[in-house]
Amino acid sequence: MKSERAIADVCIIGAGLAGGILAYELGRQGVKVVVLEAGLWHNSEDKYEYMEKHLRGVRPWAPDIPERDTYTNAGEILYPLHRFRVKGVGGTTLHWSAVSLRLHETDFCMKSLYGLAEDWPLNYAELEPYYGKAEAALGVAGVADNPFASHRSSDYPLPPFPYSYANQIVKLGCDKLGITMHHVPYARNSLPSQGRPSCRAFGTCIPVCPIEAQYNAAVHVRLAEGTGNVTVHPQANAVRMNISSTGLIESVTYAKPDKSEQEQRARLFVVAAHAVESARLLLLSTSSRFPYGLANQSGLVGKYFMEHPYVIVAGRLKQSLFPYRIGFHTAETHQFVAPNRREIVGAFKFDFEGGGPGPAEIALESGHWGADLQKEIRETFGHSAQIGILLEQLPSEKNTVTLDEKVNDYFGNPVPRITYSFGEYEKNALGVARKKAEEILGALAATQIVVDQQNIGFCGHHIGTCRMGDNPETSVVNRDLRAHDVKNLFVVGSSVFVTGAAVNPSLTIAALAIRAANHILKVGGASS
Amino acid sequence: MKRRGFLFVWLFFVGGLLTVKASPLALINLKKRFLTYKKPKLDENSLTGTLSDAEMRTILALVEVAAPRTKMQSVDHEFFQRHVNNKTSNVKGYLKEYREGAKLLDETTHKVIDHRQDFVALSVAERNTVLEAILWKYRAGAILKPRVELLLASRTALSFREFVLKDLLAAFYRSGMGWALVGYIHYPGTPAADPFDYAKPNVDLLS
Repeated sequence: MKSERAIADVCIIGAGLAGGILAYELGRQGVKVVVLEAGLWHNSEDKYEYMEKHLRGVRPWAPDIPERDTYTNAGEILYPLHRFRVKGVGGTTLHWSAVSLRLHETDFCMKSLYGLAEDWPLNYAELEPYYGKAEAALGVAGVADNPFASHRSSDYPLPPFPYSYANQIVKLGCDKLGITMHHVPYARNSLPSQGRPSCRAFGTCIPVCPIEAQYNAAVHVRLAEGTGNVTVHPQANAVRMNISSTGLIESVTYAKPDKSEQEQRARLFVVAAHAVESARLLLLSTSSRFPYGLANQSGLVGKYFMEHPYVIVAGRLKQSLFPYRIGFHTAETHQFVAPNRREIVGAFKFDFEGGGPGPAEIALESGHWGADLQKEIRETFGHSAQIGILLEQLPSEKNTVTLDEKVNDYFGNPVPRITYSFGEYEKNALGVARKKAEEILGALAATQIVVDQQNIGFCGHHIGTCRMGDNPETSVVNRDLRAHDVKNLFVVGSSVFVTGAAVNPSLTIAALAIRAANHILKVGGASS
Repeated sequence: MKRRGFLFVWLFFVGGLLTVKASPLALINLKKRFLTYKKPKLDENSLTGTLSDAEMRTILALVEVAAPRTKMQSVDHEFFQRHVNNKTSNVKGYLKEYREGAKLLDETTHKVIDHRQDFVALSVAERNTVLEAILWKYRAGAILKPRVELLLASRTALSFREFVLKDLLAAFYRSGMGWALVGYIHYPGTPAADPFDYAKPNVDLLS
């Protein structure tokens, strides 16, 4: 049985980083907004319980309805979607690293500068003021000591987290090789701010900060509700968008956990459901007018899915690094995020992790128990220096999110199928990065240097699938994130990125959402 | 060469030839099927609940060998009891594994120590002998290659190590007791008084 709700000015699908910020920006300007979120609303008072679950080895953000989140894989690499995404109010920021970086100015013009991929329809200078606003909104703690970063016109709102002892040791190796280390900007309070306390080093940032010193997008969803203009519906799974005879979206149908369906009408719709589910919802929304899915006249919805392949190079040092006293790394280098000859050597960044295996990881890998195991842990722990390599991935038409017509989810809809592989660009960059990381560890006289290239990891950065551009034939949305084909549809989030860069995408998601809010306010939520 | 010896060599040669001739895919498939068969899996159709008092005593006796008392920590029976109850009550498959684990410990005790005694009645040294009898392949697997263990060990022993011993070790070494072993008082889950101490060596550690 279907029921309908009152018409909203704007209906946002997804209460993650992009949806949360957008809801707040619109709500505080008096726009009536309804937010539909597939997952639960997790109470902030329960976060200690979530942390306890994590410490007991239980995944705290396990989906409320596992069958809802089924997916399938194709391609050379089986992409582990469930390892990263969280459905719930706050989205994947509920268990993110909170690294808040701007893209480099060269990332926006890859085609013009290097003949690679495509240019973005906007440049760094246009986005720069919004980066500043995003840093203020998220409360980013940082310092402008990164000599490789592009120009910035505002200071970070909070002071940075100092280098950990482990990072200070690794810096000695970097200095010898002329590699410049710098601080990491984090959406985590280094001082009490925005009604939230400062970091107290619980060390469980991923998957949960129990005191919300680390920003998560539920903060903005709560602020949005506080405006009195925003209503949030958790456990509301958008299953299709419905088109009127005029070619505009008139409603979105969403399903509740009991499989009953409801309809939300609005004048304007914003899809903010991450790169996988945003593309899927558009592809599910077929009609006689849009037989290949909504906003898909270009045939590019679901195309150019990207991630950040991640490889760790580790070595054993003689001295202890005293790691694991906070839950995050404090230093990176962006010396290689915008190389001069990017068409020859791809972009990457180094995270200087100070961890190595903790006591539990050593125990689980060991063949010992009892006193022998204790001896092994004492001898092994704390001596591992790790360098994480985050690689830029170029957009490839082969990497896609499509519908798997053979497998249905809990609500009877085809599940997303991820087709994923790496190209030569990423492999070449990895070769160079690996060599440089080994040199740093060598400069520290590290032994037992290990590169786990067989098990390339990921960062959970789902990028692409609804890319922006000026040309409706080669993009899904325009520079203001409005769909080329459907006038009252916007798409926000990392799905609109044209390229992936070699830095974490969240701050850019936030900056683009704030910019899109400005544009939506200008068009007044009207469908004209 | 005797006739039997000749036949054996001949059969070995023909068998090898057939193996080489066989489709490599079929061989890979066979290997995969064998590894899948031997790889321990939780029975997700089994019941959840709690161990009997006797079974719990056996598991706690195991803990005294697997994660023994240190200078800094005595074995916290209450912690392990809470952990095991939580696991067996909430995650399907664990109750069965812990029950079979307790049974395996007693059966091995009867075989290698004394058929009249149960595992809980043994000294720590004797319990170690029992564990060695069950898990020598575990050590071999860890030192050589995990596949060696898969090849040699029984499925019961593999399940015991994967879902009982590893579960207890992971719980212990993820807790404050485990971190205390490497001198940490704070990590993880308990906040430091001054979080910026992490920038200095050794200051928020135990002596």
